[in-house]
Amino acid sequence: MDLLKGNYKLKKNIKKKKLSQSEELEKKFEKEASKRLGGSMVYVAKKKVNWTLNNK
Amino acid sequence: MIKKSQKKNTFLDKIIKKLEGTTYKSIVPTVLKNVKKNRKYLKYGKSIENLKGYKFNKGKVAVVVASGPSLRRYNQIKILKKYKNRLIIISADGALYYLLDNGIIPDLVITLDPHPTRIVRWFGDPKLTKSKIKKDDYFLRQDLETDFRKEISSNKKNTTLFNKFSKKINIAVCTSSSLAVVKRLVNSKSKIYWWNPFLDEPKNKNSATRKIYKINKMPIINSGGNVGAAAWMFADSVLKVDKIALLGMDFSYYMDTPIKNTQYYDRISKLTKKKNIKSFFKKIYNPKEKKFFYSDYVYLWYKEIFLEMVSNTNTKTFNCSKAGIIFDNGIVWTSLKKFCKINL
Repeated sequence: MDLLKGNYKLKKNIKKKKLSQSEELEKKFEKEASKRLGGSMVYVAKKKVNWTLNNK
Repeated sequence: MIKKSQKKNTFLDKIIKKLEGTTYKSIVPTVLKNVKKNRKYLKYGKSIENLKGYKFNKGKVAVVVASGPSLRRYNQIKILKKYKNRLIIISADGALYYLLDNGIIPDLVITLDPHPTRIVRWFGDPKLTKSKIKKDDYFLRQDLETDFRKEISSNKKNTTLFNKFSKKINIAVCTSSSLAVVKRLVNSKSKIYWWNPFLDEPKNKNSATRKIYKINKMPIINSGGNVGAAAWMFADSVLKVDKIALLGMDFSYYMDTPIKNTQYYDRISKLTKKKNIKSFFKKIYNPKEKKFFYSDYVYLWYKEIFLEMVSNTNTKTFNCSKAGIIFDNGIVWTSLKKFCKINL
């Protein structure tokens, strides 16, 4: 989680949590995902086909 | 769905869970752009609704031919040829060359991927140049149609082959398809049937699916994220067959496949150092074949989605691929020969 930054200084120095190798990779993955990571259509609907949008 | 007992809180599981959201964000703008561009080509085809319940003068049994590596490694073409007049054959775009080259015209071909340059190659790209090939090494690497590694010569052969049969081929074209694919199919006078992809919940006001529907009013079909799963959905919910056999539906790689030849290697290698690449893959034991296969984060995600689709229907599914990782959730494991003997 990002640290909440204010316009004042704390007496105590708070260190940002160091990410593990797996967390680092996970974070990078999310960032890179915007460049398309494979996969085409993504939504799995319970309804299989909507012949028209008025279908119930 | 994956059983709870099988779930582990691994890096791979976390990535798979994130795929729906991340892919949605990355793909929707491209899909919307393609849908808008394709609007003027709608007149060259019909709505997929025209094929609702249609059986191509055959029975209620279909085979979905996907393009996984088992399609060629465990070649069952003789059986397919023997039963082609009684079996509805639905082909993924990536398996079309295999079928045509073996003298089989499928009853229906499915295409949906919006990639701007790659997908047209499955139909033969008349505009393929050496400079285009240099920009993308996908066909040189991929494990699906190894013939296509001979880029220029195989493309020439495929273009000629597709042109020969195109007027007889029914193609269910997703409106998300690239302009290159749509122009190729229109110019070759293929029989086009349009459909829209499910991208999100259309009941929501800002839904991308709703936006797409408003543009062209074509039926919306749940594709399951890939062309093989979409082909299964067409058999189940559009053609409404009773039994579906799967061929080449692996969602995985043979153990002797180099990691460089896997489908998403280019993206993974850009994402991480060589030593971490294996984190995106998983080795899986197939108890039916008593063999190991390995899969990646995208295929594992596809598997989850596909099994959920299969569990939501009364249609019986038989996996005749003789390879891969789709062997659970009531899917019957058999060969195409046995399947055809019993059901046709």
